[in-house]
Amino acid sequence: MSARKAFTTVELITVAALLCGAIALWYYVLMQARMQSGDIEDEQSFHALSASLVGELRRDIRSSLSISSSAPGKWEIDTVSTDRECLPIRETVVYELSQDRLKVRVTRKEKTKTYDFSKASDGKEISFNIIP
Amino acid sequence: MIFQKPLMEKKSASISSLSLLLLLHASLLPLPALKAAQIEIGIDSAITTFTVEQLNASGTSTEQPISEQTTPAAVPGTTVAPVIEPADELSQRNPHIFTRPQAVESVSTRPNATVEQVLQTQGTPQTQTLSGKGSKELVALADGEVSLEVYLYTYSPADIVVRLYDEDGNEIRFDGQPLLSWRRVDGSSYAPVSFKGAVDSSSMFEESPGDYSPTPGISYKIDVKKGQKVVLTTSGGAEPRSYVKATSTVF
Repeated sequence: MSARKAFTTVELITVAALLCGAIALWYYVLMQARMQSGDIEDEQSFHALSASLVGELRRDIRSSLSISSSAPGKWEIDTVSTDRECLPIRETVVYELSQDRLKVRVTRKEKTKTYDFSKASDGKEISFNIIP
Repeated sequence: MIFQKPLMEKKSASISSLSLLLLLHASLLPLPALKAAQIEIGIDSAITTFTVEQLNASGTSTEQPISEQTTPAAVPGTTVAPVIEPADELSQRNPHIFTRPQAVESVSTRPNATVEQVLQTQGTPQTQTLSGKGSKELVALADGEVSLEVYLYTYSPADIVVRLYDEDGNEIRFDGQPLLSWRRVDGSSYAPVSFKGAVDSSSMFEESPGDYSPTPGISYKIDVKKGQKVVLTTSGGAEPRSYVKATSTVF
């Protein structure tokens, strides 16, 4: 009757291979979960940013006298509002989609506000259009 | 009360059928005047469409004559009686309520100052430094002058951008550019600072032919108003010795 005192080489290699396989599988699952989490965050950011832009644009359209497109990806909205003395004032607001189709710039009273979708869309070009 | 129930049910049934007819009629009517515009936004083919109705008819808002200021008409046959001030009586009866203890008097020479103003030494310029890479936001507590000192040392693409925001959080741009922007693509190319939309050629000097380096100690001054925000940002491959310093009494 012979007693075994150590593992054979084949046994050690088999265990090491199984461990490597398990680690690889665990890492793959972790990476997949991380990517999905990142996608959801990007989607939420995009929805929040687009909701803010649409909200501002909706206000301008509702107080608009005319909407015209002076160039591709550029719209001028002639709005009317009231000043501090409740007198009507006219104001032109310009919405412009950038050349790289990642940002929307809103120019009002010579001040420009930029909605930057580059991170939220993960570098993908966005579609933005105003149809009068 | 019991024999009124069928009558009420009959009445409510006739009202509901009438409202149904009205709803059907309204849904069939075209409403071109309410549709002002459509907004389309999305990524790739996943586009969402919003329809926005216009509340005001086109061209009518500014053409309406401005009404004259109205004033309340005087009511005839009335007499105006002086209002009794209960505070006088109260103060006579309970003087301890309206008298401030002597211990409270003259505690502070600046009773209306904010915590930041109290903690800040009056009139002493304070320097906020952003070293290496990162971002820093500074809000002006009062009107005043800010001195910006920038130094961008790098061997790879790097940026220093200083943005100015108004009280509402909107960025103030100068010819479509931030307040200060400095972008270097490598350690030797000529890439000067752009301040208020204008290029400052003195921000770089030629150390040897074709090898440009940033000029140390260059600074720019701006006037800020209370509530405005200055955001300092350094990004890219900026070396740790790069810095942006904002010196002012308003921070």
